[in-house]
Amino acid sequence: MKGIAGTILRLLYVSRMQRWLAGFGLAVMLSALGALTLGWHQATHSLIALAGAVGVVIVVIAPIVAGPILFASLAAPRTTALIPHGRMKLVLGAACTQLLLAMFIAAGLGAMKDAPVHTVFAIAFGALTFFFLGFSLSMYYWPALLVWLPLLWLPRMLAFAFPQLHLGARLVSPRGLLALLAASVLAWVVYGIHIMKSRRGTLRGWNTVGLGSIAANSSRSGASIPPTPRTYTARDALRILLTGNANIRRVIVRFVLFLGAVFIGLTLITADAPQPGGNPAFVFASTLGFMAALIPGVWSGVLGRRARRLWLTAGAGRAELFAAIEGQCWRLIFFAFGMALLMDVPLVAVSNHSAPALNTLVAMATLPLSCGSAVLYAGLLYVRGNRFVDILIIGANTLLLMAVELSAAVNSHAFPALLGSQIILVALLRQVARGRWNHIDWLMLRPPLAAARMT
Amino acid sequence: MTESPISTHALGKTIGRKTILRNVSVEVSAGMVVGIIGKNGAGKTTLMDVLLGFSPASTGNARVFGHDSFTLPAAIKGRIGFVPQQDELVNLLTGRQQLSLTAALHGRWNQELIERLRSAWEVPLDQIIGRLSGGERQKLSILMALGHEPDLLLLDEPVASLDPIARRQFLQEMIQIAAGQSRTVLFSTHIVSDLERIADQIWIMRDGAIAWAGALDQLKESVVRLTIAAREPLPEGLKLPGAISQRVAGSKASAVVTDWRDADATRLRRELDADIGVESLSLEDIFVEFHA
Repeated sequence: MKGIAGTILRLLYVSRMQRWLAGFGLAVMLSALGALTLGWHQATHSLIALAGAVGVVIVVIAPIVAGPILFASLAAPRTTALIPHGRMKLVLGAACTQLLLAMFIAAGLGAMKDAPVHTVFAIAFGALTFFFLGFSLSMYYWPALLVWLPLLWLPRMLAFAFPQLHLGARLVSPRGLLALLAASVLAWVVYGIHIMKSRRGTLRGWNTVGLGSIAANSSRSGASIPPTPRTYTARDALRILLTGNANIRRVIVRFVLFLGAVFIGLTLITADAPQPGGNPAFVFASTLGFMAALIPGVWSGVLGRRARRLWLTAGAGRAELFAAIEGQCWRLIFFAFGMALLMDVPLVAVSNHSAPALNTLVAMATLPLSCGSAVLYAGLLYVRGNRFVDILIIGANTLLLMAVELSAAVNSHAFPALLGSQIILVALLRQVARGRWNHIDWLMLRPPLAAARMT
Repeated sequence: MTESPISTHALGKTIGRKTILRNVSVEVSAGMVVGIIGKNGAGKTTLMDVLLGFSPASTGNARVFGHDSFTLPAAIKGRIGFVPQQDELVNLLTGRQQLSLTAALHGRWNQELIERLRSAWEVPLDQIIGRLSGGERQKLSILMALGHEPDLLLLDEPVASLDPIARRQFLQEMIQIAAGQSRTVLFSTHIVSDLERIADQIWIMRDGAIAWAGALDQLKESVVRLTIAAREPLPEGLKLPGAISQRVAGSKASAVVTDWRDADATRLRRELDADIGVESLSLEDIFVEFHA
């Protein structure tokens, strides 16, 4: 029991940032709940309920995202090999964690939005199970990443392809919810057996820290081994040592081409299905654009940590390193986004639906770039450890990103104003980040040590 | 006048409410090999991080070749080699690529030295770094730090992952590097025998401060274990000068003292009316006593 409880605690809130988020989310949720209970401002009832729901999301978002990564660390062979039934305790702990999160979501949303608790619980547990297992497996077998792709289109396609089956109604019926719960539990059992059988570390790329080593896949991921030693210019050396890959553009090209090909295939397959939610080709094109622009942006934090070494070996000052990282990220964002735009042409061409409104096209072209840049500078300014103000800034940035995306999705008049404010925020974030980099302390900018210990 | 490779004055480092370094004042002359020893969390790595400019000092100052360590110019950084405790290699590259990239960043690069060491230490340079063992990665990190022939070499537990043979080869190389070209070496370790083998000077760190600094011989001469056998019971509040630790039981006492001189024995014998036994300690014993 102690091992399972320890795992639950770690998966829920191992880091200080997670605890801050949980505290903040709980405060928002409880305030909203208090306001609703007291019947405060009836007119703003739905707004308060929405704020409470956002609070629920803030509480659970960190353990949901970080859980699979932490689980992989905890499941390292050397860590668990000497603990009796160590891996079983881990799997049970992980399953219980998702169960608790689902219960919290159901209780929170039930209280806030008067949602049927049982329904929300079953759907939340199913979704959390799907996410955790998919994410966790993708660390060992990268094709598991593709498990998420059907989420974009499958439910809607199925519902409209077989309207006579009333799949949506069936899912929320008692029998449907029971089936969903049973499927989730079964998935955990299969996953648990899979993990426990792999006790000798037979999972590919499973190393001493548990995470799949990127190097194990290096020969396929584009990291080339030159047959003869070659010389590099100082500029090339700085670029390669920052990005950690000699052929980063080749990796991007392959990634975008692959994803684009998958989306084109899906567009062709679903060409004749009714599309009540809009043209799927444009949904895919937007997804591709966002992924292409966001991933290099998210990367800025990693590059910031790598810069520590280069401060000494490259002889570069802090301001120069900031400029190098910023330039590198922008180049990659433009390159990846450009590739995504190129892939959009055949994607839209094979679609037999009418083009969306002009402002949607503008949003498709601008949103990924503005989001990518916001994430880039948020990553670069987050260099002082887990400070409350930094978390607030990043939280506000995330909320604004969500608002901009939402306004674009519902074709709101507020979109230009929100986009403009996001661009202004990006400029501010850049100023703050640059100022901080002049005094950067690499003692605080180290990768967090995973608490790879189970009692 | 040549600037001292390393000098610190009242150096302190605090993160949040935790004090990691306190009042560290040291000076290292050119050509010296300094070994730092201390328990985990004593502040060895933080001291190196501050000296290398990775982290700013909270109080006092740290200077490297006369320059403030936090704002070291490129020319000075080019004279420094560093082997971190946890290597900072790029997993997707080969060892040869990593070395070529590091060479490209430095103005000078002694490929001959690298080839000689690579061959002697059997470093597999054509393998992807992610597939190397901990010891091989450590060797590669050391090659990267030596290639540009730095005047000042900082090594944070450089031999922790090496096998005994590789460790011996590495130490021999360090002796040659330090002796032949008057390079300054500052290294931290938990292996006491390594310190005894190559260090000119030893710093013992405790709770973020330098508890003792000096030559090894000087340390061994000045830190001794006393056994006291008096004719009368010893006073309860007995305080032996320079005692790191002491135990008093009736007319007998034992203590480990610093700054010991032969004249002290005569004085104690007279004052306590006791037989005084003086025993030299090994470096390991001294380290343990400092942390008792």
